[in-house]
Amino acid sequence: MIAAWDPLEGAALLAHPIAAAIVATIHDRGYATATVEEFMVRAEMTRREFDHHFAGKDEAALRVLEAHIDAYVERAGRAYDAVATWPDNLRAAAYETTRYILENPEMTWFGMVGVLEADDLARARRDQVFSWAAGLIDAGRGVAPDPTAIPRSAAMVAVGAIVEALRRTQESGLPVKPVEAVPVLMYAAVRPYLGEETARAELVIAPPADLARREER
Amino acid sequence: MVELPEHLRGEPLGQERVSREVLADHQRERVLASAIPVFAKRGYQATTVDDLLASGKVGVGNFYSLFEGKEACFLAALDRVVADAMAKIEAAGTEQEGWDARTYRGLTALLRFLCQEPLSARLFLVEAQSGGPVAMSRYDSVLDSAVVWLSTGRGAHSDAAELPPSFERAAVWGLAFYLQQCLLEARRHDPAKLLAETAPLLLEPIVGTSRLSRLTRELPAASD
Repeated sequence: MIAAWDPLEGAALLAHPIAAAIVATIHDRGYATATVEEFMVRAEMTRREFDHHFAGKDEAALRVLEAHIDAYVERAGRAYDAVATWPDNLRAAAYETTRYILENPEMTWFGMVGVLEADDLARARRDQVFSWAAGLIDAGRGVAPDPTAIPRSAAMVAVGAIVEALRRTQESGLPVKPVEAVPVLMYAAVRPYLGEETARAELVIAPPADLARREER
Repeated sequence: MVELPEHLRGEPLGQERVSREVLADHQRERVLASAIPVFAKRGYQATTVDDLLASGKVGVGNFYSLFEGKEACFLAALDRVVADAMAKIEAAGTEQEGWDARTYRGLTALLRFLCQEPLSARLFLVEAQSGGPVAMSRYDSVLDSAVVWLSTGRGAHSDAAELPPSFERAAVWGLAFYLQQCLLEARRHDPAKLLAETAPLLLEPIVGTSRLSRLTRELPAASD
């Protein structure tokens, strides 16, 4: 017998077959046309079980998105906090983001592209992550020679460049190439805060060995 | 009595026959004009054909004679918004002015458009992303054109030749995203302030600090 309503969330949700089933169904069918029945078939779950964990399609998709976001923010945030100085901590977070993307391509597609057709709540949750990332970039004001001269938009423009690059890569199905992408995006993020010369130095900083090896393969 | 020239002679005033094509064009324009705020306010996914019928004051049969369906109506609205914005951007500068001033004026016109017609801007910058793959590819190609335009500035500025090859993409993509966020804030924005926020990030790496300062002095963007 199934007990009272028991929301499935966080790491437990990501480990459950329903999370992958939701993402795969939305990938194949599009958000608007994907149905709860299709989620259930892929996850080999009964309607009763689904209803036991979720209130409906939108809520289930939002819960998967949130679990994915929490996992990502925890990892990238840890990488950022492990390094004391800006922009070294930002670079560490950028490469950790790349690792996360390489390890979770379907979930990344879902977060960047799949939820674009979802309801406002999912998009708002997605935008919250971008604001969080903008905060990591805008910490550059703390080390900038003249913080008042930096446009308020600097961090959001840098985040936008990253988001759009990721979206286009995800949609094209091309492999993510961190060695190419991160230095240029770091250049764009650092330039408004520390100027052209320091930003250019980002273009020649070698990527972490594990990612360089991965890209060579 | 003096006769009217041939081309002015016709049916008595008020009794001219209006062709079906003219009527259909008129109706199509009216439905499109009313569809833009509906899509922008409700969002592409939440908008129904019934919403479009109500806003355009048109019957189901007429609507489907003008558009294949909701997506076709959205794409036509999107094309119209892009055409309007492009016309304003292109009219803002002249070829004689050179790349720097034209681009600065074009950016000013774009930001003015965004502030004066936020619903149209929202249709393109926000809703195109949820309007399916065709809408997304149109959104992408507008941004790609801006990237191409920005890249032509390198030729006129020797320092810009040293910029990373993907600088223009990062700048245009970043700007589009930033403007999306501004529109989602749902508050009034001032074009002069937006210009001060974005020109240093978009143009300064290409034209240099002193040239941008001169453009800012010589071509001030009036606030709304």
